[in-house]
Amino acid sequence: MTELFTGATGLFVAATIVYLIKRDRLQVRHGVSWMLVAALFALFGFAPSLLDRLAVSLGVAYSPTVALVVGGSALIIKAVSSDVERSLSEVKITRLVQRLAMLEADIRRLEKHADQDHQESNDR
Amino acid sequence: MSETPYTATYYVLPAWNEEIALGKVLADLRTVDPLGHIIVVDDASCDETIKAAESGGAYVLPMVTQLGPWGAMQAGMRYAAEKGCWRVITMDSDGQHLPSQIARLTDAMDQTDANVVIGACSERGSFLRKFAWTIMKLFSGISAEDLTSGFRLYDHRAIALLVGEEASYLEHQDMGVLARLLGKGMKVVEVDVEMHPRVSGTSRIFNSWLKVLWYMLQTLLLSVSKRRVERVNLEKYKAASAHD
Repeated sequence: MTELFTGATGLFVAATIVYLIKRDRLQVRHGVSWMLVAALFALFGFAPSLLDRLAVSLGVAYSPTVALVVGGSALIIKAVSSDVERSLSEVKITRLVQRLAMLEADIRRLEKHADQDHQESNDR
Repeated sequence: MSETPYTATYYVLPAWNEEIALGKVLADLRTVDPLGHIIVVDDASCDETIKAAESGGAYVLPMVTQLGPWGAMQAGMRYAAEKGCWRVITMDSDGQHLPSQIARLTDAMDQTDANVVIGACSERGSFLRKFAWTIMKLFSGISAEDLTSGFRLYDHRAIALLVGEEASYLEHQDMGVLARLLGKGMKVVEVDVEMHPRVSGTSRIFNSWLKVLWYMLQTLLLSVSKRRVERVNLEKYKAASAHD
């Protein structure tokens, strides 16, 4: 029963990822890593003997521990990579805000010069 | 000072709710350099800072959202670099940094051939600020008298290193900026300057223990991450007197 539940969870995560990409709620590059996680869930869920063999080869007595450690590690890697992506996005926003302010400064300067020119031509 | 592009000195003043102090700072700056290019970066103020800056004859860079001290400073530097600056002087808008002391910075740069001159005032600052300096020096391997001073003179080579995207990952004009400059072989010297207490407002960092704690944790991590193998003692340029 546990195997079925784990396998079904993997399939559910995969279906959710496909749905989110289809609805343009998630970029494909972010979806790929989640699809890999979902595939591992499904694989170890429907074929638990693979997990047992992996646990034996790693010298772990209780095989679900391997799944938990691998899953936890994958989540940490995903969380750190998300923060890297977020930092990059924040830097891009910072650069854009700065660029916008620079352009606005130029517009203000040109408007001021135009006003002065207009004033001078009126005075003549 | 010259106003010709590529030999011009630009003044960059980030400002956040500084309508009270800014007018006098700009007026004092005009007496020192009547033709200077002054850039005020308004970091999304809620008051009349923009009006005060325009009245003082400054170029105004109005930020649509607050970027913090370094984000605002870098915007001004990018603008100055785009206009072909030769040197950039950064100053606070709250009246702490005195235009009368600018000559000490330029003199130090001319005499030492430095790329960056920091106007240092070790007497200023609360216990919190001095505690922060001690921790920074200990972990960064950079020994300077006033690591957080925003009163600085940069030449065009240093500016070129600070306007790029990599420098946009920084949040403050202190350790990260210095580590980046020293890592690229820039020469940084300090010179004693006189500073006044701020005319209005409070420090964005050194006004509460919680903010200082957060700032210190960030700076600690940054200092350790960017630590140089060899300890760097910044050269101190000895001018005649700090109260000229």
